[in-house]
Amino acid sequence: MDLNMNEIGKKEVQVWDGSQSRLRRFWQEGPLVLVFLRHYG
Amino acid sequence: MRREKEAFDQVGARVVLVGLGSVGETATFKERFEVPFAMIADPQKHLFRAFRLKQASVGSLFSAQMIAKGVSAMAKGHSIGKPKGDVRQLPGVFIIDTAGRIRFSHYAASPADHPRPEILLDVLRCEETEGGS
Repeated sequence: MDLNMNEIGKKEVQVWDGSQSRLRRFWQEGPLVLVFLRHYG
Repeated sequence: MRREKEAFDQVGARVVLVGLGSVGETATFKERFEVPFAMIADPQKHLFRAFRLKQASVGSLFSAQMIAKGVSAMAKGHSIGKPKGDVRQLPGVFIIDTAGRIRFSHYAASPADHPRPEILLDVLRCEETEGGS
């Protein structure tokens, strides 16, 4: 599946501690394992 | 994956979980279950949609496999709380290198479909050997 990672990386995300960050920050220093969870509870 | 955190650290990978709860719900979940990884709150599913993760059919939620998983979880002491998020949302896992390229993707075929951590670590070790991006 061809995803536009350049655009996806620019997305601002809400981190659990209340801060915000662009998603690409998470893979800048090393590979990122991004795990999408179904739900909590 | 919690048990493999050290292994992920050793290959220099960062694990980040994306959930459907609010920031507050995400923080509570992280604290309650002592999640050792960073978490992103995506209640509006912006990231889920960006990565094109799909939803399960209603029927698959009540499949024999899902029921068995639920019973197994309860037998281990996990309680069934009120789920926060979209119970039909299917999960997924992606490995992204430092150039922003996807090196591995897993789109769950069912709610209980998750790649084993060993598979992810194998991909990461290959990346490390090849010099990554």
